[in-house]
Amino acid sequence: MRSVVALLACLFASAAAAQPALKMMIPANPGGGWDQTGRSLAAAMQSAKLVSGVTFENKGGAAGTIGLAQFVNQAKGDPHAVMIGGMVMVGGIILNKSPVNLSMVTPIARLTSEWEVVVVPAASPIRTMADLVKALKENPGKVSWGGGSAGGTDHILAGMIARAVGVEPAKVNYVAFKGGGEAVAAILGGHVTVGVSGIGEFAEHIKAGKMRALAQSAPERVDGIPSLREQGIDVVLGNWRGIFGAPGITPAQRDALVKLVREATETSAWKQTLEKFGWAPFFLAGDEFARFIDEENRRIAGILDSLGLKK
Amino acid sequence: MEAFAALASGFAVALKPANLFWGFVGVTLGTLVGVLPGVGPALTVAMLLPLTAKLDPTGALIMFAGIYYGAMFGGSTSTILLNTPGESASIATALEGNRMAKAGRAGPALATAAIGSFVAGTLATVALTLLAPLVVELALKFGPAEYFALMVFAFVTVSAVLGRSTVRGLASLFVGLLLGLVGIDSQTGQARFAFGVPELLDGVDVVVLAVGLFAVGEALYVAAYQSRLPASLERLRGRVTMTREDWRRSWPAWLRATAIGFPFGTIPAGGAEIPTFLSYTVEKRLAKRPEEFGRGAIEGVAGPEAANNAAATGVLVPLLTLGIPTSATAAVLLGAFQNYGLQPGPMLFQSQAELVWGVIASLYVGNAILLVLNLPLVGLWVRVLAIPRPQLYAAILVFATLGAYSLHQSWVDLAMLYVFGLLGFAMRRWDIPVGPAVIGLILGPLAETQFRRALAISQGDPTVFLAQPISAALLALTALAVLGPWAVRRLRRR
Amino acid sequence: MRRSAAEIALSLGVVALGAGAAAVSATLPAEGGYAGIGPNAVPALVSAALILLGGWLAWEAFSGGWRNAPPDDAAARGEHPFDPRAFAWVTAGLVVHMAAVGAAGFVLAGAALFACVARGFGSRRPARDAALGVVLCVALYLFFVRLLNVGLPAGWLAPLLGVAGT
Repeated sequence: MRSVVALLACLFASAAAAQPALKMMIPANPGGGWDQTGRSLAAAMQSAKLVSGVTFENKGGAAGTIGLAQFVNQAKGDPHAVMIGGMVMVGGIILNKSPVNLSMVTPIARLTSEWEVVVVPAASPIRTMADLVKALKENPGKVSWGGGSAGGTDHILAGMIARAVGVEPAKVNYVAFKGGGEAVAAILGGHVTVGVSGIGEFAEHIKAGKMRALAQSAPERVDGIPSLREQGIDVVLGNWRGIFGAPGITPAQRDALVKLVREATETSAWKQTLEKFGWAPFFLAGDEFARFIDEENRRIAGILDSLGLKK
Repeated sequence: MEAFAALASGFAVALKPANLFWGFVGVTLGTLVGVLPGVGPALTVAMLLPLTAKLDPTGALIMFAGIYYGAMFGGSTSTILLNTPGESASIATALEGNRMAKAGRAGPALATAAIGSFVAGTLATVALTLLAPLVVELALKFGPAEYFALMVFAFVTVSAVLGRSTVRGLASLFVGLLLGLVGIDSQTGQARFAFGVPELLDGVDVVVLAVGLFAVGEALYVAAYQSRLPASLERLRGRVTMTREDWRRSWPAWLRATAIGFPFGTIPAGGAEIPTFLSYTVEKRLAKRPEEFGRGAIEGVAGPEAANNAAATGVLVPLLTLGIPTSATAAVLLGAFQNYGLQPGPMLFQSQAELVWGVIASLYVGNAILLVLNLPLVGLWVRVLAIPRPQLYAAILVFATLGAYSLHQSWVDLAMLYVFGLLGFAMRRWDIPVGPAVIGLILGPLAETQFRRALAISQGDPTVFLAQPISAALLALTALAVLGPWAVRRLRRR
Repeated sequence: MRRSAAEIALSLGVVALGAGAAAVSATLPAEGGYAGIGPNAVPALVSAALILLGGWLAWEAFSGGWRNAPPDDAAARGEHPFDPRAFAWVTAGLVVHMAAVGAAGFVLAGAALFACVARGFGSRRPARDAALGVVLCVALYLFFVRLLNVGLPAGWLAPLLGVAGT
């Protein structure tokens, strides 16, 4: 019964709430990774009473660039406005030739990373990463890679692996699927040679022995899966997520937001969130985060170019 | 028989009063959000996910199942009464459902939808109980080549919605195909027909097209050509319950639709749109009086609605056995499982048998609650049509704009809605069928994507479609469907 | 022989749509990787089909009118002749809503839409219609924003309605 009361209470109580302290733009529809990140971070802030309230605006579409455009135009100079974003947005800005980009907003902090994993179906003759590299070098066309959208994190990883082992990235036979589920089905059914996705997406199938994990993209070993680096392929790639402030805020205002976010990530509520969703902590604040984005921008633009996607 | 014992204990859990209560809450809420265009079950369940922290798994999952089924039914309610299909799976229902409502048969239309959903949902749940592990093996055999063959089959069979003039039907189909090309090309990331408008990069949403063509087009048409006619009370005069004749015509449609919907739901990229349209076509083909189609044939509501619910249940097969979500709602349900530390997948039936059977039992219960709750309300729903025409159409357009606006929170979608409204107006006035345009938008991108995926995997070898047995069989079936009637006619003429 | 200007215009409209689409398709890359079919192939096919179908429709329109077409005389269809004012009111409602929803907010824009459409359908009590529109939209707003936490613009009524939040 108590939950009914709680439900009704959420319905009406907040109507009379005080002026919101933080306005959060989530450039994706409810339910996805950015939404979970933003709402969990806000919950962590509130659990530690760091803010009096957070209001959300979900504006999804086109890899977050629609929400980004609105944030750049409407939040200018607002010290209480923040936006969630990440690696997917960096690629989306380049691919969609977005008129707005991440240099127009104020980087606050990088929060999390989801590492990528390379798998094969259990029945595949490919047993190890070395087998895969060999097959790839022999005939890149025969190795079909199943993963998420074209130009997304999974595609980029496939391209980076190819380049690292001396195969032209444009020769990668990448087959884009919609979201994780479709790709999982194609891999389990043996319709593609290799699968690439976030570790969380495949973890259960790896555990059940239906997929074999060959490597993952973190700098070191995760969940007993060897990293690419360990196997002599110098590639590290994470689907990172972070938080940004409005364009044109003062350094002092930025530092206040950095402090707020840092404190929120130190709460137990946030740590539980990381564990629940299987996200790796990947905190980096302020100027260093800004430099990281610049680097990421160059790196991703380069690989998209060599994949033949950036026109 | 082990399954039945497990199921019985599942029922014991699902029938606890507290769980029944959550079932009722879910169905009520689901029906409400289903009636409103723009919020589907996925969004509702996503927003209620935090509740999982406060409820025990069975209670929460029963509530979510209630929302799922409730929203399906709510969607058909607004589709039949107001011609505003709230989600893509209701679009096929709009073709006959709203015509029935206009002819004073809203009550039977809603009743056949409710009972058909119940029958199909229950049968599909039985199939889920018995066949899940078997079906899923088959479903995994569907790769890009098989899907493409399936799309070709669907294209050919739904041609029955082309209407009185083949050329106008085809023109409508190809306009839909063109609209389906708008947005980012899935295989290369290339933007097509987006003209630099970011809202167009995600493509044309099928709900915006359907609501624009159906609801906005109709509002413009009725305003222009019928608003000065004396209001007809015919739409209120009919009886609320189904006649013996209605029953006789409905039940075969329910059964056929279940047989179409369930397998489609289980294959990982099946969805609910194609089986609803296929069911519509099948009913039209088999009807004793096909001339009634387009004027409110009850089979045209009974079939798609049952197919929709059967597909919605079929979606749970890959979800529970493989952990593969094949619809937005399934993806969110997966999130709900994970919140309880449960990972659907090959191991779930062993590791969490009690809960799985609890969920399956709660599906049966959710279905029953839906029927119990909604059948008595049919009479009340029909009263919606008693609202005077000016206010009724005003409310319809408020709902229609809400659905379009909530996509991106952008006026661009409203502009598209209006353009589609104008198109719908012209199509109605000059008798161009709207169904093919919607089908083109749904099937076109799927067919293109699967075709190119299959060719990429085979490195450009087109024989791949004939080399795989399932795909070859489907293509042969398609050829038979096209050439069969023609050959029979030729032979008869001799 | 029957010849309808509207049918001719619609037929040529389909041809023009196909031609426009063909022009855009020509700018799309043909590179299709291993599939051999680039992002331009299907658009080109669809454009060509539209041009052909438009031509077929135009031929029908010039040779006795579209086949099995509904009668041009409104009375024969059981309707009244085209009512430009009703059509304009509904259009005005949709356009005002489109323009105002961002700034004025969901409730006010929705009320304006409601009042305009009701006017188009012959209602003569704009104040009551607007009030009904406000009630309906406030209810929808609260349901979306409070229960589902989906943002809808509050606009000018923000101080009264509050916004989406936890």
